[in-house]
Amino acid sequence: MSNSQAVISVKNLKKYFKVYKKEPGLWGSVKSLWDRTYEEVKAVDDISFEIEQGEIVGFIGQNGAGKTTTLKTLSGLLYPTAGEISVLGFNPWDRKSKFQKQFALVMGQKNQLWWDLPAMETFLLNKAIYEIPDAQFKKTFDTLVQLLAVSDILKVQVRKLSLGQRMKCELIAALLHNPKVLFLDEPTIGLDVVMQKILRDFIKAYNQEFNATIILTSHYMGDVKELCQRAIIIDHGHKIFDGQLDDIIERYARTKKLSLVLSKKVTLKELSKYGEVKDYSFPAVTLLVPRHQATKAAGKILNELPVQDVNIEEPPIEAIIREVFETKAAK
Amino acid sequence: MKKLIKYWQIFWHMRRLHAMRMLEYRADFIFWLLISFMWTIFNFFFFAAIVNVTGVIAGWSTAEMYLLMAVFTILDSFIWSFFYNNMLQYTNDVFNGEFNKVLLKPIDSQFWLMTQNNNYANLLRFATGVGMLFWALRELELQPSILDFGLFLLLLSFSALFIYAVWFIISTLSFWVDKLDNINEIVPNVRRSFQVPHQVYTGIASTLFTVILPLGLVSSLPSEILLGRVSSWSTIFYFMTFTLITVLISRWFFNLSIKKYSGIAN
Repeated sequence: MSNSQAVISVKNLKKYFKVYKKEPGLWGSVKSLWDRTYEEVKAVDDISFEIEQGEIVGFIGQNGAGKTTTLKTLSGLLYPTAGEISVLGFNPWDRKSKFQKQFALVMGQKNQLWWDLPAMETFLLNKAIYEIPDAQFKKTFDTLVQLLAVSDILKVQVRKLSLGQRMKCELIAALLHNPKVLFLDEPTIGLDVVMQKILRDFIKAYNQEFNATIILTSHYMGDVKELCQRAIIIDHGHKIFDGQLDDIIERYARTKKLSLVLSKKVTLKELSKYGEVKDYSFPAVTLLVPRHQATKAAGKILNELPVQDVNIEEPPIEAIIREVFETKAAK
Repeated sequence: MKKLIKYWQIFWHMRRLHAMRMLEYRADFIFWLLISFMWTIFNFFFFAAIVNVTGVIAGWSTAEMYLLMAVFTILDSFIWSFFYNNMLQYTNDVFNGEFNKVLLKPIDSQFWLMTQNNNYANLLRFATGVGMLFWALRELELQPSILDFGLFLLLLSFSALFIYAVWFIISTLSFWVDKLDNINEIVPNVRRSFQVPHQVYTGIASTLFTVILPLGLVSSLPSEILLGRVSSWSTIFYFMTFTLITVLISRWFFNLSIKKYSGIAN
């Protein structure tokens, strides 16, 4: 990937925080008046990547992995400890007005809407702040209202809206200026499955209509699977994977799942010869076999066992990622 | 010029939003209006009780002291309308990680921090101060020229700017410490220092309140313009220069401090 194509370029980004560690109990609190122990937390530690225009990239990681810190640094909210960042050719920390008018950060747990007034008032304020021309505002506003189907709640006080309705309005407020780059930090958190689907469809539509570059963090793998082709996995501030989502399976999945339907009962001991028996409830059996032996094992089972049906499946990506983190934690 | 128009429009847009929000909760607004008015009346009453006994304070007659009190009330109602709520929100936002939305906007952060909030409950106090001012001028049989009024307004603006800059520097300390609940009570607690003529300060107090941190001048200097008894033009020049330097320092300190912003852990 060449630099000229990259909309977002991050080189050796580091962001460290100093955190105070208090000893437990009252004496610990009293002692902290004159003696405090600080620890350096490496929230982001030497991360590099590039993202091209129009890409939707999923940031995957556990709580505290450094995903949000990275997004905040890319938005110019946090001053990096070290490293170089370029977003749309700007250094985010300079917080140039021209740059700020071209990106948006949406955080599922924060809101920018005026709580006591209808969302429409926030939209009009943003129109003034972002200097959006009348015609552009009307066009974008109408499109977003239609895509998210919120025309009936625009005059309702924000505090009286449901979480899903508020999130839709948050997205409109963040997108009225047609940002070219969008940072979405857990946009579907707390939403029900229907609302999650609506937001995913909307994000996909926005990406297609405006060719926007999007970075998405989410604890719901459904969001990442449905929206992103590329994923970056972050663990304890380090980037451990950057590539196509499907490659995660190739790289980290050690087993394949063999689903069998038996015609006659077979003992557990007999089944164990072909792989790890994950589940056995006659006639259904689930076996885990090493990836490179899956085809061979399936053939052997067909020959040697009373089988009606065999199906070879990749394990779900959620399980692989969970295993990656669990293995790292164990180490 | 285009930028100036944008900021002017945003300023009034915010005022309209706050007016709308206030009208959503009209009982709350009326209650605060009454509290603010009662506080002003009580303050005048208390002040009158002292002035009527002493007659003259540091060379200022009773009517002149009422004029000073009027200027203080105008200034104080402005401070409470704009600064208190904004500074409170500023420090809370830094502590709670809500400061993100300030830094993300394509608008000068310091401008936004100063204008994002206001409290209309002090309007009645402001009007009381203005009424009191004209009453005192009539009592003193003074008719200041337009130039005098212009200079008065200019100095009053500098006074507000000076208090703002000092308060802003103090509030900006919230980036450097984990939590300072009382940080926004410092300036309100030293307001008494500019409720009296600057001539009451002598010795070390004079050096402190008229030179090192010239809070003692903020009401006195504009009042002296209207009274036509400017004690020292060099003091006025010093105060204006000091204010501009303080504003510049507040900006420098803010830009330095936001590098310390850590948001809140997720």
